[in-house]
Amino acid sequence: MSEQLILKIIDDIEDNLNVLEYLFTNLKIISIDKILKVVNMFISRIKSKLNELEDIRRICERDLPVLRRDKAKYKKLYTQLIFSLNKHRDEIYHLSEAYELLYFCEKICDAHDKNYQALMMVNEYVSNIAKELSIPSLTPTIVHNDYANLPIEVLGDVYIIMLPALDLLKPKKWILLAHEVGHILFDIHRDRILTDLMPKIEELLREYLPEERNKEDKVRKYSNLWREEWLKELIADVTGAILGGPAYLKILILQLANPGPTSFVTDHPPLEAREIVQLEYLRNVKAPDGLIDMMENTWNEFRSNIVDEYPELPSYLNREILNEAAEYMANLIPKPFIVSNWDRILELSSQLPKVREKDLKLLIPAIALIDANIDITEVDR
Amino acid sequence: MSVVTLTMSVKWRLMSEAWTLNELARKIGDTLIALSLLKFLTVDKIPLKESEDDLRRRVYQVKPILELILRDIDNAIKEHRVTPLIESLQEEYGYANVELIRNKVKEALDALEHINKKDYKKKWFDITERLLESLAKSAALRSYQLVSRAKPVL
Repeated sequence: MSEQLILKIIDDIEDNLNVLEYLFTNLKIISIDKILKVVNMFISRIKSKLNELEDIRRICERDLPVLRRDKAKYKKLYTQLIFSLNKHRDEIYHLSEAYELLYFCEKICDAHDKNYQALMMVNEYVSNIAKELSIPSLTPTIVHNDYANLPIEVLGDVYIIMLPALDLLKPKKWILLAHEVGHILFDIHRDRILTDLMPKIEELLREYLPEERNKEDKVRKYSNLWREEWLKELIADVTGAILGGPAYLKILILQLANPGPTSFVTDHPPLEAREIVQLEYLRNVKAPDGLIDMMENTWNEFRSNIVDEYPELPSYLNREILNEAAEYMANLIPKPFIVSNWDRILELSSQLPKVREKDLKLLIPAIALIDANIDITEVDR
Repeated sequence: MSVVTLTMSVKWRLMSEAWTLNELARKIGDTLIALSLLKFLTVDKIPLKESEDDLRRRVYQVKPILELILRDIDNAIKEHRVTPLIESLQEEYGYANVELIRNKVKEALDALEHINKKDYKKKWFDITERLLESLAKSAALRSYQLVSRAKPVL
């Protein structure tokens, strides 16, 4: 019986962690405050992992040899130590993935000064909209290859939000980040939303699904899809409406360009359901007529030219269920940002690009509303 | 909607969940190491150079995790749906009834309290160990499954 191999494994993992610490420490994009904070959190995490490895090393060097006489006990502890080391190794994989994300972002910023400037503005915009929704989580925004968010629970309340590198210099597309921030809003209220809404959704599913022998199985199946997939996406879209109204819807349609707006293929609900929930939310909070009209026109401009594969949404995603979600969100956030600032955003959009507006919460929807290609780094803020 | 858009957002969600589960498996795994050492030291009277107080403290740190599992079980009973971790406990104990699994977790929490009060009977160690081993393996397996689903395939 020898501890030689397990000690070599510890050395190897320790070596990997030291390299990762070096790499994180040398990232240049860390001069953006929120990214800096997260990078420092990763470095602290690596340091604490190095300490944990020292504990394992101590057990291997001090306790394992004492157990050599009792083969069963030795093997038991040895296996448990290997299990723990294996989990440390797996975390190295996750840390490397996180590093790759930040490294890619750094390379994009290195390519052009404007990119770095735009990334700083994106971070400012996301901070501002998160603040508007009273979201306390740390939300650095980086560029990658899609609109996405990565919750990092091991660091506490941290979400890395991602914007496609190709859209970094297109401020009208930044409005889509409201959807990603909406996912954080959903996570914060998750238990409450699910407890309050799911029984109602199940009841409506039971009411609207056609009568058939296995109806109860279908109620359960769709109820699970609502719970696991659709509700969070729809609430993220309502968040888009809260912060951007028709500006968000316009860019969402532009981004998704979905030829089958009433059908769905995977985890996201159909585009038409996403439009309905936004519109119903804005109706519920008594948004001004002009804003509602613009929402309807934006949708109709797209929808009226699409051949109906299915003329209506399926019964498990029908308007009544969507209304229930919209009404719930109207009670949760009765005074949305877009309603309180609608006139100002309209005014700004008519003055673009010659505006002196410092608040990106107002400027971004104004740019998106007129679908303008503006170099935001040149706007006189 | 483009397939790429879906794949990427789902990928990060899976990776996030996998990371969280890996951390859970690691924490429970570390508790199992401390539990074994404490058992060797106190029940088997093997003269290890570990501090009994420190080991006991490290074992007790798993309590919030077990309480969280208990909350998951309560939700599972309410919503008639089980998580992969609960499923693994059903397999380990051979019970389909989630209420009985709930009792097993409560038993383990009770055993943990005994150990924390220096009541070092073998049965308290065995009860705790059986539950933790099952949870650690299941969390690790689920984490692997999520990572392999998140990785792009050719």
